Amino acid sequence: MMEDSKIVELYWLRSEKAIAESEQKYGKYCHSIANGILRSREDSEECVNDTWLAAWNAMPPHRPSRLATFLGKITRRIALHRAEKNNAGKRGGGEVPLAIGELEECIPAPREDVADEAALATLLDRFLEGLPEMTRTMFLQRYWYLRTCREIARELGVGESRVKVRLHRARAQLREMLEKEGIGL
Amino acid sequence: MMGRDILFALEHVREDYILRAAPTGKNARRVYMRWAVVAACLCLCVGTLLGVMLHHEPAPVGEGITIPQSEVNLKKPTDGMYDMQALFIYNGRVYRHVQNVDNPSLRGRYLATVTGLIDEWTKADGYVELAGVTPGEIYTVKGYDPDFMLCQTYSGGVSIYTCTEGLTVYTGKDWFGDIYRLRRELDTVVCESAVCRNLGYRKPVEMGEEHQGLLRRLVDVLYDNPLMHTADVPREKKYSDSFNENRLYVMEMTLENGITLTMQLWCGGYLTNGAVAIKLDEELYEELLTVLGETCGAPWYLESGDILACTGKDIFADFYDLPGNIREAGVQSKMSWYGEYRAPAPLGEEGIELIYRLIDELRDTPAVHQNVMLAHQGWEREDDGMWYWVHLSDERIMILHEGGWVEMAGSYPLTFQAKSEAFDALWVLCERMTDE
Repeated sequence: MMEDSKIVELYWLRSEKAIAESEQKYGKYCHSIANGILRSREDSEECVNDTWLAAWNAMPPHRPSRLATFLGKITRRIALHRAEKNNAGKRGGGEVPLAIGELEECIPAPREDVADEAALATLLDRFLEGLPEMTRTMFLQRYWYLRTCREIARELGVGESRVKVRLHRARAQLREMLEKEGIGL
Repeated sequence: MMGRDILFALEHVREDYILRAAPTGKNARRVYMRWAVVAACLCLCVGTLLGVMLHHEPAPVGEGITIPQSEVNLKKPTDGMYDMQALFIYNGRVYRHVQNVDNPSLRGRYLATVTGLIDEWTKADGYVELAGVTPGEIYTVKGYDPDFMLCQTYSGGVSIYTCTEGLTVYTGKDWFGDIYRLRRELDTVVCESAVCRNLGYRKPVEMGEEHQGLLRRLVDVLYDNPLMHTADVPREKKYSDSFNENRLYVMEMTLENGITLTMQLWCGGYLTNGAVAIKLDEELYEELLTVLGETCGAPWYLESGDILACTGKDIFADFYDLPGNIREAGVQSKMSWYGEYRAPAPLGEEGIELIYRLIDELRDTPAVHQNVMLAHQGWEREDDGMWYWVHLSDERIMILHEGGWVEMAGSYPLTFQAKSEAFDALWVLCERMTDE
């Protein structure tokens, strides 16, 4: 398969081959992200198609070093917005509302004002760094990839209750961290 | 800020974290941790001599405790010999086997090779450098001070050995934090009543999500409080020859790397881990007793001295799964043990029906110590009165004692006083069927 830098070059050269190569190399990954969030094949396909369009519009000016995460993030964002729209129209919403509800536990005093996303991301990096690897994997599979606890348990070869317990603890740790930083207060 | 903000902000975390966590869609083989039942189990032998102190500077809180050394000293041979727990001697220190962990990644760097020259006949002068019970290579354990912990390997895991002799610790943080990193690395907690464990009826239960708050507070208490010697935990022998009657529950705290700390909850609110102990405050102790009772059953002993925590339901139903599954019942009398042997005589449907009724009638009856029965009946030993053994399917045996007392074989010293027609009728049936 083509190297990421070469695929990115194709985008910069405005060659439509860029999308074909992206789909071949990362199509499955992006589908997996979308499906984890939307739980609907049709919606996921639309979402992934929108990803290629968004990537086409993003490169240039972007020149990502890791195409997988660049495309994955685009897919995730599109899928999350779609899920919120679906949920608002009561057309399901998969794990998103559940995940949001769980993450609400981490916030000392949930409020409607907008958080500083950059500051929050920096704190989340520190939080993830402090987690043992398996817990970090569970946390990201749950809240980045929006997998269910059962799916995570099967993926990692552990019991479902272990996943739930570790996530519970991780959320408690995140809450403590947010409290200490004064975020969400 | 709302949960949604966190969900979207996660997009910007480190990319390598995101990629490493990517699900593959495959099902991993489930790995079951082997529950090592090792007598020592991170339990430290209370011995007598000196070792090398670990290099750390704990905050001085109180005077701290120094864990005594063992009897072997390469410079001072003794006449004593060790019990045959696996051990080896490295750098003049005795490392004892505490548990096996199915996690080969714990193995660190190679240190030396131990000879398997120690056995039960080895005299003291045989306990020399690099002598051991199990021959093989010894390694450091990743993340642990080699003065404290080393390992040997086996296929699929490591055998952990520890040496704590001469170690001085002040607060729980020195032990649970600096050495084991319990707060950061705690993975699962499994509990069971001490009596179940003693009797071999292993029914460990994992403490679930609903108890995580309590466990967090417990770990905080373990960290913040001064330590004491386990040997100083107040205990009394009221009913038996063993201090173990004061032991209520066992909690196995497993870390993410697979290492397990075995915690024992004792009457009076003392929590021990090997040679170190912490006194819990009354409120936390009561809460822990309640939660453990709900999670894994009655402890069977209370420090008041009365066995009130246990009823017929705890024993017959929960422990022995009675009255379900009684497919057959047979009776032997005391005479068939002391006189001519006779095989159990079948009690038939009538007998099984009476057993059902008896168990039902004893459901809410509190257990008492067998000494209560002896005192009541004026006996010196249980054998002084007449008894019948009622053999139930699946090798369960109910023992009926003269005067209306019932126990299950294997659950000494718990006895129930039956004041019921069912007992009387069953006794008469047993007399008839055994002709004794």
